[in-house]
Amino acid sequence: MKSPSNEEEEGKVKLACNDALDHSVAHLSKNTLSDLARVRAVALSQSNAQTRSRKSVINRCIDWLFNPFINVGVPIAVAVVIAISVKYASIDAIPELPLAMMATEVPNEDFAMLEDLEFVTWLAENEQSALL
Amino acid sequence: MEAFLIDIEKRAYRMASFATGSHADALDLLQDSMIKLVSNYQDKPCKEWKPLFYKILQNKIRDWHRHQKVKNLLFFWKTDEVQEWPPAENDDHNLETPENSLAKSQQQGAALEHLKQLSPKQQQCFLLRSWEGLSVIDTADIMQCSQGSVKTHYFRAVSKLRKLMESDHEITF
Repeated sequence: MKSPSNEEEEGKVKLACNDALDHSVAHLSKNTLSDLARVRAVALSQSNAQTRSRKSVINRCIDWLFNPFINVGVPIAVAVVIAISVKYASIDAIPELPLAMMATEVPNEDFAMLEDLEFVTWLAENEQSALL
Repeated sequence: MEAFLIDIEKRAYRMASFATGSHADALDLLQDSMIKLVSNYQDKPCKEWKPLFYKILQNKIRDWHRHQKVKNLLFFWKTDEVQEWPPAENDDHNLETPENSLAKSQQQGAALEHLKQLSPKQQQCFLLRSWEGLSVIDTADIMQCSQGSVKTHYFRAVSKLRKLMESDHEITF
């Protein structure tokens, strides 16, 4: 616990120092005052510039979203890309049949020959595998 | 915000100039602190600006001291130019008699010199507690130390100032 005399001494020290500090602040030189004003102006202008740049980024994003070129062009571009990728996929999936096999009418003789040919081929393969 | 900065800039400058001992460094620290406050905390309530600003300033001062330490270690052969500090004051407002004004100005100058002799933490603690009138809690938050440390720094600052004043002027408080 502080004694009253200590508190009084402390008070006098504080008063003397505070008085000196207040006086020094109240009597700053003109150069110092102008420097302080300049520093303050720089700080406030930085803030304004940051606010403007933030706003301009936001504004730019909004403008970009509502741009008619973007509104029309992007969906078209996306559709084209999808179409191309689907086409390539469909090409790779199913090979095209030869025209000859697409014919609707096949003569009976040729049909029989094809069946015999198929049988002979199968027989030959089986014999080969039996030999191995 | 501009009104707040106008109100606080002189005292903050004094605090920074005590910490750095240099007019240019004090202005740099002040500018950086103002920019940070204005950029990041402008949306906060007005009553929070003062402690926030001093917290930013104290952090900048601490960083400056660390930087100076490293600089002195690396460039120990270099001696910094001694700047006139405190800068010459404007005496246009002095309306007292010459004798009184001389004695008073000498006393005030001596008090400022004694403040410069305190350690950085004691100095800043005294300025925040006594001059700015901030509470122990606020000062501890600004200086990023415990309330006990604040009380210790403050007590030691006042004790040292008292001894210096007593020895300088051969007076007893």
